[in-house]
Amino acid sequence: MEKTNEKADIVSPVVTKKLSPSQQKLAEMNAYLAKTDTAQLFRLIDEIRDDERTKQRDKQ
Amino acid sequence: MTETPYLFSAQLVEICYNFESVSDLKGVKKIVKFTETALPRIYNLALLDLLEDGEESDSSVTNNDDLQTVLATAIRIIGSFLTKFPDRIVVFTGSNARRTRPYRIVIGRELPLIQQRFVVFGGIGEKHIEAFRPNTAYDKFFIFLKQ
Repeated sequence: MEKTNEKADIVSPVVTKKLSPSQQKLAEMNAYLAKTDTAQLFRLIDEIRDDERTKQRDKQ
Repeated sequence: MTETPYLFSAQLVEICYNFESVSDLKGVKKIVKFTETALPRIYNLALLDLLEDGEESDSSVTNNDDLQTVLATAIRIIGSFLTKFPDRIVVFTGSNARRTRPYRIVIGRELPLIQQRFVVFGGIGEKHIEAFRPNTAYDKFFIFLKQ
């Protein structure tokens, strides 16, 4: 009797595209940034830059 | 204009710098790749090896005994990138905890030099970000120009 592979008829192949290492890192970083308080980060950065500009102006 | 436009898509903004890690035994091509994140001001840095088959790898072991030099080069490249794009913020992490530690060490060692022009923040876990302090177990690093 001819053997048949019934599973092959049931299970359809799932094709997944493998991310490159840099794409993988980017995806992980985006996930991290989504959970992080980036508004606070940007505020801190703007404060530091404002301070630096003030220091530079005071020097001149 | 009344025409219905075609669907279109944008490529990720990626900027690559290349250098070669050289030892008596071999040369390994390295890529430092900056990719725009979901937040346009923030660029993710990936330090990669370009393998002989043309694939990129962030997990290969170079064994060129020059890790500190490679990381110091990456820091200089960040400086070059931020000089060209002064409003951007670079964020990076190692591919695992073992690979993140050397970043901490090199940044800590080079901090006086880095701080002449840049500000470094360290991130711990998903929430906490602070000004970089040496010997602190950060898993993310943010670098940006002072002004």
